[in-house]
Formats: sequence, structure tokens, C-alpha cells
Amino acid sequence: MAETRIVRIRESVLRENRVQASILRKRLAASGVVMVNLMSSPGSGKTSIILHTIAALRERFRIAVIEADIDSTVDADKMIAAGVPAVQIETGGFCHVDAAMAQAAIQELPLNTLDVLFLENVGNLICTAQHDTGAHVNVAILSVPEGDDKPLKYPVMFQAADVVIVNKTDYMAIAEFDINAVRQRIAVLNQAVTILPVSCRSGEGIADWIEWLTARITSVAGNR
Amino acid sequence: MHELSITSAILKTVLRHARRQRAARVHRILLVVSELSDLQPVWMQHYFDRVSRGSIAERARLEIEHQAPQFACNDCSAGFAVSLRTVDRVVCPHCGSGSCTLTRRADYIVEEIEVS
Repeated sequence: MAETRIVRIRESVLRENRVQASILRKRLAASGVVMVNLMSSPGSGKTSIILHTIAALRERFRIAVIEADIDSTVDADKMIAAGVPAVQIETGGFCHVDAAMAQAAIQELPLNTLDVLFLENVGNLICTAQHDTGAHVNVAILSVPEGDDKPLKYPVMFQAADVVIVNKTDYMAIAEFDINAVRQRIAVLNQAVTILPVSCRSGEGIADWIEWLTARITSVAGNR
Repeated sequence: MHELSITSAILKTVLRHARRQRAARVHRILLVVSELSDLQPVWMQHYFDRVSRGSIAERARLEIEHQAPQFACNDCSAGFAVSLRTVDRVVCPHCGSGSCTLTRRADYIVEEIEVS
């Protein structure tokens, strides 16, 4: 066998995706579109949050949705029924959306007639957080029945988020969920994050979320 | 499927550098993996063996070094590492403050490759 040699590389394997995501983010902003990426475990309420948000903001913004639910078109059908354009990404079993997949889906949408693009990521707390999609706003949803210990078990998600929606607060009484513990655990990972308790069922906190999101959309759109 | 996309990205990075070195064979790959990511070394090797089949990195051995997450204290600004596997709150080892910030994100770094 020929003599071997060691080559220093020191390169992140996620670098290429980060570069691609940053190009996409700039391109969207230049077209006046703000992309909002929603991440959570399966069943935490991504679709419900999007439907509530569409109902509240459809008069103000022109909205479309990218759906990335694995091998299912159920959620895309709900969006189309709500009257907004929806594109389904077939992730082919992949557990997250990366910048290249987001880019391909965006190609199918008329960007110049849109203001806000929601990306409903694959239900997964791990891989989704590690892959920059090119979104301007990253939303993590943690639902009360999942437990208040999630932030330190899935630190990357809570580090990547700009806002954490604590959904299903109507379960609070039966779930022994300590929201102050959640706040403390998230603060260790991410000091800039906003935490919003919400119940899609009772409507509690939805107005705060809409207000937060509207301010963020306006600020991203104003900075282009 | 997460392992598959990460190991494919590792292979891509390794092959690009190996070609630049005009290497005929990649024998070993040293990866520095943040403890914040959860991939099991045995599965990473398994997936790597699959994606690298037929390439010059076929049968290369993955050597994985885990790196504990790095924090900075917001009060005394000391830097320190803590494994989140063993604690449920982060406290600065120098001044005892509970107000700390994570300073390094989860990542997979190809640190070095051994080629011939």
C-alpha cells in the first residue's frame, strides 16, 4: 500500500446548504416575500397555527404555503380549502427541508404576487433545526402534552428559533407543564427568542402571535 | 433518513478535498461532531459505507470526536463546555451564574482525512 498522508480540512458539511439558504433568503427579500418556517414534532399544531394565521392576516398580506409533510397531501388540501396557493414538497422520506428543496418548491409559486410564504416543515424536532431553509423567520412550536423538558433534549431547535409558540395551553391543567421551567431552559440556549403561550382551541394567545408576526414581517420587508 | 443526508454531505466534502489532493484512496476521516447532534457513530459508519460504495472513499473509517456544547457566562463572560446529557440547567463554573448563552451551533466538521 502506498504511503498515506493526513490532510487538514476543517470544513463544515452543512456549509453548502447555509450558503444556498442565504442566497435564497436574499432573493426572496428582493422580491418582497418574507418566508416563515414552522418546525415542531408531528401533531404539535403547525397546520392549525398556519390556518389561524391565514384567517387573521389574509386581508393584509398575500399568502402562500409550502407543505412538506412526508408522503401526505392532507395538509396541502386544507390550505387549498382555506383559499391560499399551496405547493407540496415531496421530501421522498427525508426528515427535513433544506434550501435546495425550498428553492425548488418556490419555483412553482408566483413570487411577485406574494407577501408571505409559510413553510410547514416536516414534523421533526431534530433535523429540521439543523438545516437552514432560507426562511427569514424560524418558528418552533412546542405543545404542552409533549412536556416542559423538551428544550434541553432538543437544544438545536430552541437555539435556531426566533419565536417559540407553546401551543395547546388548554392542556396545561392536566399536563403538569411548568412554563417558567421552559422559559429558563430556553434562555440558556437562546436569549433573543420570544416565547408565546397559545391555544388554537380556545384562541388564547393567538392575537399576541399575530401581533408578533406582523411586526416581524413588516421589519423584514422594510429592510430589503 | 437524517443519517443519509448528513453522510452524503460528508462524502461530498471528503471527495472534493481528496480530488484536489489527487488522492487515489481515502482511508480515514476525522469528524468533529457537536454533542448537540444526535447521530450514533455506528449508524453514521453504516450509512457512509453505503453512500461511498464505488468511490475512492469506499471502506474509509469514520473516526468521530464529540464536542460538548460551548457556553459563555452572561455575568463574568467566562467560556466553558457542558454536556447537556447530564444536566438540566447550565450554571457558570466560575461565578455560579445561571445566565449563560450557547455560543456554538450544532455542526459536523470534516477535520482531516488520511489519503494515499
